[in-house]
Amino acid sequence: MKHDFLDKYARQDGLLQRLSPEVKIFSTLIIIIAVVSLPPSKGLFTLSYILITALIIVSNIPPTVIVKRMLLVIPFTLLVVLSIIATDHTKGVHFLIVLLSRSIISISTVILLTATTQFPSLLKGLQQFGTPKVIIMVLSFLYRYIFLLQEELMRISRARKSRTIKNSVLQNIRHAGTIIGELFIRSFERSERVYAAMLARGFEGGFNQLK
Amino acid sequence: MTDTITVEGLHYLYPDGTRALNGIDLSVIEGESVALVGKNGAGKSTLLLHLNGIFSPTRGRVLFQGKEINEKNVHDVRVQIGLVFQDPDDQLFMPTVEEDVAFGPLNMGLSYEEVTGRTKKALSLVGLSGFEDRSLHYLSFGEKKKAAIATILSMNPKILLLDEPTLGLDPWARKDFFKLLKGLFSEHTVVVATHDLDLAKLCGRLYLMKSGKLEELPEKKIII
Repeated sequence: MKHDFLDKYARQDGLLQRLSPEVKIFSTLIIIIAVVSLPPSKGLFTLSYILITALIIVSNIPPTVIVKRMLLVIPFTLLVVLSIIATDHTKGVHFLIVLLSRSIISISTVILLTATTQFPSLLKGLQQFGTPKVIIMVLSFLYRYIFLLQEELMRISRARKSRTIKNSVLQNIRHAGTIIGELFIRSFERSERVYAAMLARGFEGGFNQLK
Repeated sequence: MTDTITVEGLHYLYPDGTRALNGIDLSVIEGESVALVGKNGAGKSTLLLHLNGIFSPTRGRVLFQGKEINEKNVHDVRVQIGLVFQDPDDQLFMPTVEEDVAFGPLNMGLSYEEVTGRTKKALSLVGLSGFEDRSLHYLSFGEKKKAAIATILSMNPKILLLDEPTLGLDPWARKDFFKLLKGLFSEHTVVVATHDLDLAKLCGRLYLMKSGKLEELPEKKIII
């Protein structure tokens, strides 16, 4: 089984794909800091929206992909903004638009960064910027094992489906519970074996990495 | 001819009370190859995990070059005794092949040039040159098995402990693997746990493992 959902667009050609990860991480930071800290104005937001749209086009990423990934985060922002408006009557539509724009611009910049950079080189870039090694290590484990976890989930749910005759909502929920439990136990056991494998290769708690 | 690994009266109980090893005596002589055969759950993997100090015995001793493996020397022991795990997805935990093969040498505190040199050599030994920047989830199972061996070879160990090196390979990959293993057997002291009887026949000595005990089998005579 091959998985592509993380690196798919990073391995095709485009303007952002050709830039080095360090440049991209740095510009992402600049854009986010500017959008969040500069006084909100129509000009700033319009300029940012145009810039991001242009970057999406020159990097050959389907806009639907960006929108889909954004939809994972936007509801949280919306929830926060709406709860503030509901409790504080001096805030209105203007406040809503400003906060929402800020979060949309920041999130889409980060999505652009991660979508156009292969994960291992993204990690190398982050390391160049002085990210603690422990965090790099945790992220690299995430990248290494998320695919295995996904495969395991697919196998378990396939095995379940092939033996399920009647399907009720209540039963589905119950099955989902056992699947989550099963996945947790399997991951826990794997983590012990991986740790043993690390020890076997001289791991003593320090994280060394190739430059 | 000197003993490199000596096991004396080794007992091991898992934390849940399962009796895994039940009085094991074994000595491995430098340059030889030893096969451990036996049913699933007979304790082969558990024994291997004792030989480089991942597990410590409940009772009994494990010695390397005449010295008991303890907390102080376990790091040096692991550099000289390389263990290749059965499931390459446990063995390989870094994002790319090169980083994974370099993990051991980096922990040994070698220079950058030395590490990259060893990584390159180990990858070419197992036939994976050019795979350096590949992400591990894009490798086939056979390639992962080879990469797992490379991660140990890059540490230049004297002894190799192999847990089921040919398990799960298709006949073509298995044939390919035999060539690689024959080469390794001629240059290292090897202890291999396996169900693969053809592989066991390549080894100088054979042990049958049965409910936590070892029984030496007469040379080349395998009965199941």
